[in-house]
Amino acid sequence: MEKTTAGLDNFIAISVPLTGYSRVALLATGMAADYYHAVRRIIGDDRMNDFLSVAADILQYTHGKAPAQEREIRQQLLASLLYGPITRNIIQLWYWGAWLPLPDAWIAKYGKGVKGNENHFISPAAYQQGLIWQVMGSHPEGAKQPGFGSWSIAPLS
Amino acid sequence: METNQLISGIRHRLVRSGEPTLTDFNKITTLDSLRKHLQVAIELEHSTIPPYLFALYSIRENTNEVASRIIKGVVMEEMLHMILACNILNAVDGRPDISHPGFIPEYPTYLPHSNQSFEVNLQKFSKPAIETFLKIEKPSGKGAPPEADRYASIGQFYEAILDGMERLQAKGNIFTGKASRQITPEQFYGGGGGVVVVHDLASAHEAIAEIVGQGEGIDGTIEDSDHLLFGEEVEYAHYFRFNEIHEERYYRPTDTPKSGPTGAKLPVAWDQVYPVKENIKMKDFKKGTEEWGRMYQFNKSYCDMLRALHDTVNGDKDKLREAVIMMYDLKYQALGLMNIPMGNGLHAAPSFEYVK
Repeated sequence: MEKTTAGLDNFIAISVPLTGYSRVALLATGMAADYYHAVRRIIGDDRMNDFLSVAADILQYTHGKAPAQEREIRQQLLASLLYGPITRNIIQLWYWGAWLPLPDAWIAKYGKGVKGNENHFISPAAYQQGLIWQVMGSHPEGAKQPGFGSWSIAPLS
Repeated sequence: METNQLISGIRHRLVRSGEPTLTDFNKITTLDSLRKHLQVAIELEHSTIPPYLFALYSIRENTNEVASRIIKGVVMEEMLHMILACNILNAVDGRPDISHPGFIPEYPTYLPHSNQSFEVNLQKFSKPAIETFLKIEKPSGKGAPPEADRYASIGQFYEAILDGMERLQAKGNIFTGKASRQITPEQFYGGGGGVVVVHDLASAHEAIAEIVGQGEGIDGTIEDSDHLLFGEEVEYAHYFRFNEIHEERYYRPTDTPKSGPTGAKLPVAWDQVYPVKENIKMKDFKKGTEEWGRMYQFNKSYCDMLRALHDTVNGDKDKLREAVIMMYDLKYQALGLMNIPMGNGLHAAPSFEYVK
């Protein structure tokens, strides 16, 4: 049985509008739980719980209404001094597989208890699973080889 | 072992239109029958690939490194065997058909034209899976007679083919196929062993020795035939490599089939595996859902790859590169599926079904 927690479910649910990828596509990367635990480890349980509860509220109130959902995400998450940098980091996490340091100003104001905020890949697998490669129709350098001579023909899909 | 009546129907689905009936199939006395057997040989070699890939991909990344390497090595040699069988069929001026709807068996399945003593499933890396793999690669035993049908081992089946080729060649040259239809070693990179270009009885012998030797080993030893044929380092035959996983212990060079492996411990983490659904099918998902779409896409890619391979072994050799690129992509699609929970504790997986 896969371990699912309400927190992880919320994390994946808000990641769908944040990344523009479907829940199934995000699950297929195999990285959801690792990213969830990484964010929790770095920003701390309290901050993570607060963020997820705001996210869950947005998803609940705007359920199925894309324009409203987008507006609320912009206003409550991306424009927020507190949640904006976290939200952007989660987006970057999915695309790069890497954690980018939260800004100094944010750290000065909210950074108490933050651990491991330096730039790092979550794991070797995270580097390979970054959505950026799919978006580019490419592959992570040094991994997921597409085969000899593949550069000479148009992408298959 | 008697055939289960409930599942014997599956065997009938394996009998494709235009395929000879079992009774016609007993002895190879005509060129037509030889070609049909070689087509079965191609299908037989292929039929082992989906189960091996399924188990291989089910292993979680960065775990079971040795077991993964063993299965991967074997599956690459099965791909080579399939190409070797195509080369033999092309050498006797046959037409390999690897893109027809029945080419992929419907799992669970018996091996094509086997004695139906065991079924092959698409199942995750596990002891039962390795036990099935051991049965597939089981050596025929010394002095086992060649059998053209209902053979008990893959070796016996090829013995029957060789026997037929020798009989037919004695009556007149059967190696009349175009040389340009042969897949050559330069085209086949990264595979296990070597491609043999087949143009006469001796090279056909060599190709079959490569197939059977890699699978079952040479009489009475655990080594495969590559070091004799190609001057490679001694490598153990498939059966014995799988047995290392099963026994969680390496063979030593002095070990024999009877002694079993007596070398160092081979660590196997049987629990480091995706909980994927056995013999999964597209119909396990609601049509139109994204999960169904990904199942379909995998099968589409797999069948497209087979179609590209079909062209490759039918004279359009440049298609091989395209097929190889598709093979890499298939792996990543399969791994993606294995990360997707089905909501019942199990995960999705590639189903290897024919789609247009």
